[in-house]
Order: sequence, then C-alpha cells, then structure tokens
Amino acid sequence: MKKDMKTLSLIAVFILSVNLSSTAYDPKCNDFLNTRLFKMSDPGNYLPYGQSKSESVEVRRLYKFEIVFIGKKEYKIGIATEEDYEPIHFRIIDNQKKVLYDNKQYQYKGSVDFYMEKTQSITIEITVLASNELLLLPRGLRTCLGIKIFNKSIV
Amino acid sequence: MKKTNLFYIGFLSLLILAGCVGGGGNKQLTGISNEIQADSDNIKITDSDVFYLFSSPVEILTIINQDSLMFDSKYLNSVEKREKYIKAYDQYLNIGVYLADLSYCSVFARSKEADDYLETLKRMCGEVNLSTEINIELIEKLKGNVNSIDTLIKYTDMYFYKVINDLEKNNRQNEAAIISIGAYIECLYLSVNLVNKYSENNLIILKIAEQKHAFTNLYHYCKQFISNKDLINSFAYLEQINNNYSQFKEIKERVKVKKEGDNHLIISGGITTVISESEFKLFKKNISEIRNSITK
Repeated sequence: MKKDMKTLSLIAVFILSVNLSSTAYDPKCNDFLNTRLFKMSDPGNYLPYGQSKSESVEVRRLYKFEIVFIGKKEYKIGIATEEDYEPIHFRIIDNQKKVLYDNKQYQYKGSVDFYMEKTQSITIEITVLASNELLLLPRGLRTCLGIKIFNKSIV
Repeated sequence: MKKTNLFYIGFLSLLILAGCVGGGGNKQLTGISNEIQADSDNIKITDSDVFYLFSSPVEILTIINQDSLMFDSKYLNSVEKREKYIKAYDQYLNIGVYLADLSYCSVFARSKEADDYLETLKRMCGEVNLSTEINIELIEKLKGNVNSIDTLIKYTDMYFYKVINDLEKNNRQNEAAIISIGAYIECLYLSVNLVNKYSENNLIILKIAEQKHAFTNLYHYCKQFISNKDLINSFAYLEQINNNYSQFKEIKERVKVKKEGDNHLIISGGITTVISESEFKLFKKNISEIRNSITK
C-alpha cells in the first residue's frame, strides 16, 4: 500500500509540474522562424528586416509588437504559429490608434504586403486563436509565435 | 488506507481538471468560435505583453549613408581604447559603440577597419561571457567575408541581433539594453557628424529626425527592464536624447491606407519630425558630449 501511495504522489507531482511548465519559457521557440513550421511564401527579391521575432506566447492572449518601419520601402510580413494553434488574428495599428489592417477581414491570412511612405512606428496586435475544435486548452497553454519581416527599397 | 487512496485519486482528478480550464478565461473547454476570441479590444494588456522592436545599427546607418558621403575614421572609437574599459558597465556600453562602428565600416565597405572592430568585439564579448558558440561561428564567418561587402553587411546585421537575442533568451535584458543604448548613441554621433552643412532638406538630417521612432522604441524597451544601477545610468542618456527629440517640431498628416489588389496596402501620411538649424547645432553638441563621456 505504501508503494501505491508513493506512486500516486509521484504522479501528482508530475501532473503539477506539467501544469506549471505550461506557463514557463519555451526554448523550442527560439529558432521557430527558421523551422519548416514557420510557413511563409518565398519573399523573392526582398531582404530580411532585422526586427523579426519569435516568442513563446500564451494562447488567446493579446500581444503587441511595436515596430519601426522605415519609409519608402516595400514590406512583407509573415506571422505564424504551430499548426494546431492556428489561426492567428492580427491587426496593424498606427500611433493614432487607427486600424490600418485587420486580417479577420481576409480569413485570418497570415501575411500582408505593404508600402510605407514615411518612417512610422506601427503596432501589430496579435492573438493566437487556436480554433481547433478538438484541442484541449489548459490554462496558460503556450505555443510559438513568429513574425518575419522582409523589405526592399523603392527608389 | 482505501480512504487515503480515494483521497489521492480525487486529488489527482482535481489537478487534471484544473489543468484543463479554458485559457484566457474562456468558458468552453474545447473548441471556440472565431468571433468570441477574435475580439482583441477587450483583452487587457500588461507591460510584459508588449514587445518593442528596434532597428540595428546597420539598418540605421544604411538609410543615412548616401553615395556622396565619405568615410571618416576620426569619428570612430579607437579599438586601442578597449583595454580602458574595465568595469562591466563600460564594457557593455562600448560593445554597443563598437558594434555601431563595425556597422559604419561595413556600410562604407571598409573591410580592413571592419576586421579590426571584429577582433575587438570578439575579445570584449569573451570578457563578458557573450561568446556563445554561435557568436564565435558568426564572427568567424564575418572575418572570412570582410572583402565581400554585401555579405559583410548581412552578417554584421545578424551579429547585432544575435548578441541581443542571446542576452534576452538568457534573461540578461539589462545588458541587452545597455549594449543597444551604446550602439544607438554611436549611430547618432556618426550620423550628426556626417552632416557638412545644415539645410532644411538635408537628407541626413531628415533621416536623423526619423530616428525619433527608433529611439522611442528603445526607450520603452529599456524602461521595461530597468532594474539595476548600470541601466539606470545609461537610461539617463536615453532620456536626454528623447527630451531633445520631443522638442523638435512635428508635422502630423492623417495616415491613409489604400488597398491594392488582394493583399497589398499603401500606407501614406504620418508624422514628420523637423529639426531647425539651432536645434540641430544643440543636438549635435549634446550627442557628442554624451558619446564622449561613454568612450572616454
């Protein structure tokens, strides 16, 4: 009996640690942008823009990315998460809080292209929706979120 | 004993259930309609949910660099000063300065000078435990490509982000912030000194004015992690620069979005910052003083 109790205690500790680890930092997201899980169409003659980012984020929590876009350039932005956690809702908002783009109107498409006339600081609001009907959603469930940005100058 | 077992089984069941409560306070355990959770307006944001991203020194100096500009090494921080930086704080700030100097050399296609700065950075990064295997590999790639300008620029850019990302992933945001402050101040110092003569339409001055956005992002980024004396000290430099920027005139134009085709936008309008001649002179003086106190 003592052995049974010990086993049960170990299982309890294991379950507790699994629940706690769902809110912890996830190193697998470090390189998410460079994995095949990050899907983005070929940027062609665009160059990578340094402010790309991959993070471990909580599902259904809103995150804001404040990004400076240099003027007179064309941009391609790709935003992705792990397959089971799609879709992603994102909005591009200017510093006057005006929504410039909402991917909800485009079936939650994970990318957008734009030309920026003047250098501006722009907010990209992102929520990983995880709409999969079959997915169990533990509290604080985390997944990888990546933003990749490419640009090219327009002379 | 049986009762105790039952207690444990009940306890385990509760633990499992606790783990399966819907994330973000949603009522359903499984599945959710897009309409419910897509309503981002009602979600509360905390400071830690905001990520401030900013340009690299290469990106800053590339937009400032014009064909007619001449490389001038007298504005760079000499690599010989490296040994003077003993305290960790001075080392981090000047790693930032040297990263900007390396970027300046790369953008101006000065491979010999770039090589010197790489060697200096390699040593300094080693002294502050920043030499991860990947960093060393990247430096070696850089050193092997100093004569291929496009590759040099590309790897210099990657190197800056690699240093910052490595520090962030190891919870060393304070150091990442101090290095970034050093790099940004050096970029601004090099930029203001590239201006030969003030004119309202001087392209470099217009670009320097645009850097207000990047400095604002860096300011907020640093503010999130301000927890030690060293960052407070370098943050004071940033505050001085931001104060300068806040005094410049802003011309606000309503942002317009034009949709083109399926998924392409044209975003026009926004804020233009204008620096007057007297403001520019004062700004240049302030930046030089700050920069020289860092590299002394």
